[in-house]
Amino acid sequence: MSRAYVVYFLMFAAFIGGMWFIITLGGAMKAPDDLSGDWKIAWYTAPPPELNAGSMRIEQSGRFFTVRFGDGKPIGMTLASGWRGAKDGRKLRMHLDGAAWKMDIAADIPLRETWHVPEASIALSGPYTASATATRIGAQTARSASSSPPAGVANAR
Amino acid sequence: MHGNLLLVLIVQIGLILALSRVMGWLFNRMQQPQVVGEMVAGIMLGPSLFAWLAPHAWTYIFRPDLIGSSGIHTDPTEYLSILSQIGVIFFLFLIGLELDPKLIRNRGHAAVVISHVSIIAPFLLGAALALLLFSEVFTRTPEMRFTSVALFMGAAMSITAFPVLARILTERNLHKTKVGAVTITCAAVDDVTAWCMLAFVVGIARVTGMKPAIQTAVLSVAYVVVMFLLVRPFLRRLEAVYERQGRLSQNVVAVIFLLILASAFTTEKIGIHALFGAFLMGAMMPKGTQFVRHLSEKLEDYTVVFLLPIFFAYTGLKTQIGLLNHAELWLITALVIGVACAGKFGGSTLAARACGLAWRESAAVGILMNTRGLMELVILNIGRELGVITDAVFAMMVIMALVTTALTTPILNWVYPQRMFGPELEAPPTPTAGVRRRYTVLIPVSDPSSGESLLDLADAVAGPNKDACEILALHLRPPVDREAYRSGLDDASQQVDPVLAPIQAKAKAHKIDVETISFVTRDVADDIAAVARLRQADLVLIGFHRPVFGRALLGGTVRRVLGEVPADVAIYVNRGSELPKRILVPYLGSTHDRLALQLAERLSRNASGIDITVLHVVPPHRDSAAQQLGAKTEVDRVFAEPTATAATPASAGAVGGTALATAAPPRTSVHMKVVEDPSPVDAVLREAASVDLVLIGVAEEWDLESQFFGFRPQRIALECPTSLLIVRKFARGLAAATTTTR
Repeated sequence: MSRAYVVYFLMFAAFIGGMWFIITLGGAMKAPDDLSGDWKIAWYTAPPPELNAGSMRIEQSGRFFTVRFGDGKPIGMTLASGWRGAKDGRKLRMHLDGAAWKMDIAADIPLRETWHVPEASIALSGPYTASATATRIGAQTARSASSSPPAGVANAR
Repeated sequence: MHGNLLLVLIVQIGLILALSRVMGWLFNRMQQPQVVGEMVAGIMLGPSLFAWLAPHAWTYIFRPDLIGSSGIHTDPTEYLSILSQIGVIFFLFLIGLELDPKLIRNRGHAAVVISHVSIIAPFLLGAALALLLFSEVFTRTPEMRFTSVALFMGAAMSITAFPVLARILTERNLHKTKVGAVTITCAAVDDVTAWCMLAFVVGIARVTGMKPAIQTAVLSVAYVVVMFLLVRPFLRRLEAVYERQGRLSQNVVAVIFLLILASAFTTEKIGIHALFGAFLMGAMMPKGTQFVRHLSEKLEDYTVVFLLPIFFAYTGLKTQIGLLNHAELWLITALVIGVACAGKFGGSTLAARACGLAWRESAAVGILMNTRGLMELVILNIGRELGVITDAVFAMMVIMALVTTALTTPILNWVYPQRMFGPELEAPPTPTAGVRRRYTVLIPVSDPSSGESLLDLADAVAGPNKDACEILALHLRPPVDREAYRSGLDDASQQVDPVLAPIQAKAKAHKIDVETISFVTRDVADDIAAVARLRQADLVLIGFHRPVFGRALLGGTVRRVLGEVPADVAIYVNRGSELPKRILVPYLGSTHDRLALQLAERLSRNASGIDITVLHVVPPHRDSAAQQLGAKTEVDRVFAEPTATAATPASAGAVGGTALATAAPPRTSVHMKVVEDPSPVDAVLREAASVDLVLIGVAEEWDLESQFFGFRPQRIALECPTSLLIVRKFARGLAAATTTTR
């Protein structure tokens, strides 16, 4: 076998081995649970004046969230480390940090795998504190949510 | 479809087409591939710019369904989505059509290694990047399993935009160089591999168990076998029908369209995406024939001009750069760009270097392979549609595609500048001591109909002595629109340039020795100057080109040639006469006028029976004897001591009356005519009526005026009833300035 063939064999072996290693390693990793979509909000307490709305939209890319209450301004938040999701059991616990607001989210993960929690408790802290129950509207997924007008686009309905 | 919705769609598409053409043109002017401008246009129309700057206007145009009073209840962008997907299906068919199996079969050792490394390295790095990003920017959904994400990121990183790359190669005339040959082969291999890989990744992402996976794999193999064993022979029969009919009938086109759609439908149903079916259908078509050429011409304009901008706009509508609202996300974007470049550029460069290419050439291969362009957008849209990537990752990858594509040309210019290659532009060997350099006439031709008259004139100026003169016919081809998304390699590799063909035929018939040069250029004037400099041209003889816009007679390219070419320039305004027998040379004493005299002398030397009138106009009632004497002396000097081989005596006649006969070469008569007239232009125009050619120098002040080349020659050029040769003498100072600004 010529040297060139040996080099090719090694190159492809390295590729297959590398991919196997990456996929094996990645299989143990967890991505944040998907909370993106439209939620209906029922406030327990008096809502903060600028966030007083009956709905909430979450756009999520991994740890990075953009939350908008009603037609209000989008709030950028980041998922803090130490979160728990479907891979850790049946309780979802997330803490989101933003510049002015912080949000704690707690939910029960259904027994049957649906990939989405249908309902969650949210607790807002920042200039005001408030808490509410958020119920996912329909069975919207991340994809259908993102086909809605993006944050910042006028909703003149 | 509701009437209002149709109006909305028409407005949307109109806006998309207009902006994409404008941006494509603008980016082309900036030496960037048109595709970059169109990608930017798409992003501009989306939430990243238009909706951000004017949300209400954006909603009104793109999402009127959100306005209660609009009466529209359907999201119009869904129609754009369908149109864009159909556009991409036909575009992928065109890409498959363009695929040249010879490129893949006849690979050298270097191309084999580089093509494999240029896929494996970015694929591995992309997959490894997924390890870093999975818990950062991906979410837990059924579609975003790590395996799918890693495979998708690998595939997205290893893509190369064959059409954009090939286009850059042809525009820079690199396709005939070693670097070009290696790169184009690697890109062709990458192209095929990428779409096969994509089919595999889509299959993995869509199936959820072993049984469907096996089913998809078996069906995919069966589909490919059917394409090779049944569809390919059938397409050859269609080609035979085309050849028998001598034209591409609508029935044949309809059958091919049906086959494209059927192939796309089949692969979509199998689970490996419709685009793979369209691509494979194109790849199955017979190659390099008129049949394919006609078919692609029929499809191309509609697909590229109408459907692809919709795809860009749709991509732009889904690209939310606003989602990258954390510094961390921008750092990740930079990381994505870095990994993409490291894998593709780094892998290809190192592989090329290992194969024995010089560092600079290896880097050029790497830079070219790093071009992603439209292909990346296609693959990203598939990833987004499959749900394998989030919107933020989509935005990051779109930015990466834009950056890597936009960087290609400037970095290539820097790393591998044009002066380092250019086989056609190589300067001739320096003449050895004692050997006289040949008088070289360069004739740039853009219009085939003007080439023959330019050749006649060039031959008359150069003369019959082939050892003393040479003629170069140059055709510089601006990249045509059609090549914007295709390589244009077919056209670039044509052996006979259709514009130069009449010149070649005439040269052969009349035994005129002509060397032809033809290549693609972005800047015609600049490259005429470059060829003139490299080939040490003595005279550039160019046809008359009246600008479409503007009132100046000579503007645009011709004016730039006048300003930039480091050689004497003659602009030929052919008004239909044959080779001139009676020549008028208005003489006022400038260096350009002296060149006009010299050219008249050359013409007279190389042909018999030439009658030259040197017209010297003096103001009336003024003692102009000194001026007349100067003119006469110059005429005597030129005709007595001609610039080249034949030395013939000139004898001057007496000033006054009308004529003063001089005897130049035996077969030529030279007259000096001095007239008193307050308007030199009127005097010239009067005399021009009775000659075949007026040879006139540009005004000394021509370069000071923005569009004109001097008022007097301008008016003469406009009103002269006969052919005209406007000449500009090359000044050495100009050469120095030109050289230093380069």
